[in-house]
Amino acid sequence: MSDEKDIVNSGDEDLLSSQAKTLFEESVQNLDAATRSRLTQSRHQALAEIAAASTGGSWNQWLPVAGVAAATVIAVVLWRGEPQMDELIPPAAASDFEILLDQEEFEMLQDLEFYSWIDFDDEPGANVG
Amino acid sequence: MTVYAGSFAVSWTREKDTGVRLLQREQELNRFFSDVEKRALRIAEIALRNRDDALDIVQDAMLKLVRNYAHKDSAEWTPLFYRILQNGVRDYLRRKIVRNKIMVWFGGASNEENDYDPIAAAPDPRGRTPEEHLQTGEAMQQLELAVAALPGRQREAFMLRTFEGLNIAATAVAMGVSSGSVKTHYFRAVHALRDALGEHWS
Repeated sequence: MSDEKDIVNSGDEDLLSSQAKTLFEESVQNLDAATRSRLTQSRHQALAEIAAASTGGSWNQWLPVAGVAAATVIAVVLWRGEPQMDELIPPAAASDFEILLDQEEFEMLQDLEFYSWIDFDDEPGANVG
Repeated sequence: MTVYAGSFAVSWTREKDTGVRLLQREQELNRFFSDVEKRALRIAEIALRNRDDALDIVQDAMLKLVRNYAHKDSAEWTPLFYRILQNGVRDYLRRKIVRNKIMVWFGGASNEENDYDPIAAAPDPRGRTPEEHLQTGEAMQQLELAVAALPGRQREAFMLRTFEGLNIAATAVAMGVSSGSVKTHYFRAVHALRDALGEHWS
């Protein structure tokens, strides 16, 4: 590893580098337990990726296929789905509203009492007696 | 039936081989990280001057190596790992510079940042206990400050060559530069450090 080092190093630089290396290694050895523990946790977390890749790969690889299949099913349902009959029939309140808004029916509104009487009159047996 | 049984046996054998290979790879990576993690942390810490951030960057480098280069030959892991680490350090420092500029622009720079003095911080830059401080020693404090004060490329070249012991070719891979550039940066770093530390280290 140090075969090229002497290309740029004179004696002073070698001394400086070796001193620096010694101090550095000492500081590495003196790392506290909490820091070492965090490093170990980080290592295990990274290594867990390998296990996850080996176990999760079998289903992960089907995710795109499942996505396309789901999209196809939704498209078919949307394309072939017919509107229900009750969606075509307007609600009763809407038809009443249309009748009331019609200009020709204003007379009926004015003679509402008369039409009520007619309606009552049409019922069987209403005029008897 | 025989055909089905045969294909099942082949499939099972392949899966078993794959499982064994993965286990071996995991063990190799475990040994590699165990060997390199503490030095990598100190190298990142000296550059960043912050242990928590250095731990995050080391963890990130481990994850990226596993995700992207676990299949590579183990001899290639060291320069690749340090390349990821150095990229993380550079990104961190770049973000820090931008953040400081924004803070200055809005006039919200904290007193801690304004009043930061690396020399004044020298006795206890990482908040270590007195016992740890004594163990590490004043010489290491001076060395850390001097290395941290180097230009980025010189600092990388010096730490990778001296602290991690990488040769010029591996250092070049880790730094993403040519071998000639490594030699130049390393040469300048050593001379700058000799000038900075000479009076203490002579």
